[in-house]
Amino acid sequence: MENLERTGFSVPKGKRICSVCGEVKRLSHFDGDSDRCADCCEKMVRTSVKWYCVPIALIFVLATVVSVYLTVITVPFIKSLDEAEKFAEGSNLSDAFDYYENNIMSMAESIDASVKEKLPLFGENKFFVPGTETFERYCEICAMADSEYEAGVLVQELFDKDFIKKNKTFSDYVSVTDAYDKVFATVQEINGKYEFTSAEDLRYDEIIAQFEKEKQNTDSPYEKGYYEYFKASVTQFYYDGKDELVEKVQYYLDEMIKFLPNEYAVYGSTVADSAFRSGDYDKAVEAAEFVLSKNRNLTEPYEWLAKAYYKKGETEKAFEVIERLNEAVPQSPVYYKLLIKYNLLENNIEAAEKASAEGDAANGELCEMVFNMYLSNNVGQIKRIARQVFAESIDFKAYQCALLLLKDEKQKAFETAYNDSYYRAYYYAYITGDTSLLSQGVINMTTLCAELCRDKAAVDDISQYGMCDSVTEKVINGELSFEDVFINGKAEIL
Amino acid sequence: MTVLYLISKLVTFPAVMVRAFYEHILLKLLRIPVEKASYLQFNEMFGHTEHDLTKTLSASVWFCCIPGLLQVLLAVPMMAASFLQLYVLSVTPTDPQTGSVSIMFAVCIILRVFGIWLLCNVFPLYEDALNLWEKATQANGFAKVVALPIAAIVRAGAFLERFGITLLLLVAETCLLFFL
Ligand SMILES: [Zn+2]
Repeated sequence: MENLERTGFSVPKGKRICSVCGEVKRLSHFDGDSDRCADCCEKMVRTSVKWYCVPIALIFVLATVVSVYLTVITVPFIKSLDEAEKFAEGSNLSDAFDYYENNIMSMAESIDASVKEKLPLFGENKFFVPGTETFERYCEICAMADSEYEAGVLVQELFDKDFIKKNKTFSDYVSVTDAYDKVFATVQEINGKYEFTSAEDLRYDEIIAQFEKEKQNTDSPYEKGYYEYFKASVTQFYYDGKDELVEKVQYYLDEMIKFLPNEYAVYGSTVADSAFRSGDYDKAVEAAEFVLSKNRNLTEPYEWLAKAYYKKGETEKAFEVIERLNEAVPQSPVYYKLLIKYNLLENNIEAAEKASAEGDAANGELCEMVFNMYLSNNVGQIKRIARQVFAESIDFKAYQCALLLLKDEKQKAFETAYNDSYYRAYYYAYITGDTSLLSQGVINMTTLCAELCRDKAAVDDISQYGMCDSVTEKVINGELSFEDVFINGKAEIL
Repeated sequence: MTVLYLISKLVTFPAVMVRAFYEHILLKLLRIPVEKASYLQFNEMFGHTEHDLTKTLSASVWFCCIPGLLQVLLAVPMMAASFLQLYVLSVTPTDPQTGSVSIMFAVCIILRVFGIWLLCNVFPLYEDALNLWEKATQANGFAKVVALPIAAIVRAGAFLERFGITLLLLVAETCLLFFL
């Protein structure tokens, strides 16, 4: 316009030049003082949008839908992790570990399965995975609730080998497991060189020196720790029942815990074991409380506590401990077992019977279910749960047999011992190769019941896995009565 | 500075297009004349349609906020889902259990990239933001109370986007979270 004016062009009055089309139009064609005519304005308002942007926008919308779906399936999973964390914060480590094992891992699998059902795009590959953070916490809880050794076993069960190598946390657990296995093999070899059957012909100082030498030769802190542990074991064997036992064992275990801080359970149980051998019950109480301060879900420390208080003559305290166990691990078979055991020792048969019935009501079905799952070959999934369920209920059942024997129900006692105790332990050993559930107590009780019922075939069957001990033989021969072993506490077979 | 701006727009190209598309539709709805209906001018106008300034406060607010809100609405679930998977659960590129490539990881990386693209294209051109700011400061009473904070946010955001700083921040956040 300025140019036009400069060239002397003048716009007639009542008209204006449109800056877009350049035409001279009447003022009524312009909106206010706009320099564009209405036609041009309309054209500029009606420019066509680029429709090729729509598919791009739709891709973003699709991605958003996927994100919302992912969030919806992930949030409950993360909430369940918080649930496990709550257990861990309250030192209920075994509960936390169980929660990971039974709820979180299966939740991840069911989420994955339901995603694949809706979207069969991924074939065999997993879509929803728990994530490394989840696995790390799971293994950490396993290490704290159980031991680093078990965490290493778990890591090897769970993960791909290459993945373990790349992740330091996981490969560390495996090194602990390897360290233990290596040290155990070396210790076996050293023990093999020194043939000994009793503490008297054990060349204690030489063996300890050999362990020390091996310890110096290794750079692995885990191996060093386990050598200290085996020193404690040998010391326990050599000083059995002697006054200096606890102190000496404690020394080596203190060394061990410096290298293996998560091995507090082994630490505590070894100290408690030594304390019972030397009769230092205060020390056993101390060891039990130490372990419980780390993980109040472990059942053994409650057993040590009950035993220690009972031996000290503080029966009331022993029963308090049993109730404490029930608070930390509600309705555990161990709880009912301890109730039977100490009520019998108090000659309170009625209370023992009540505990026996309650124990069946609380755990009978679970044990039955796990056993049936075993029979239906659903093994991998339940291997770990099964061990604890079986170990505890097999023990409980053995005490139930004691009660039945006292009531002179021999046949029923035999059936319980054989079917619910022995056979389950046997089957567990058959499937897993782990014979530790076929304990001396189980063999004693089952042999005793079989002998009393004169079931020769059963006696032979059991003898394949172990012979009953001398105390049990005395009971079979009638030299000791049931009252002697279950009530008076003169001797023990369980 | 145009170089930084252009780089930040080029790497987030698809979200740029979508935002320009929203802007264009809004301009039509608000009946604001458009000079050039091209989204791809390789200058400081990249990803924006050349148009007249909005004349009223309400038109300014709509024009400056709606496209951004749409972008945020789409981006937030993407950022949330990928955050939960990549950082809370720490899903790794390979599946720990099978050692094969993790589909979840790939999906979440894509979602995160999409999210960052969208979040880098939330704010309008700085000129439009300034226009809104002026309109908001000139307004009275209730309108001012409502519009001023919005205008402040839009202005600050547009300033950051002008230099590609939002992209840098988001990429930095993504990398940082991986190390934490
Ligand atoms: Zn015109």
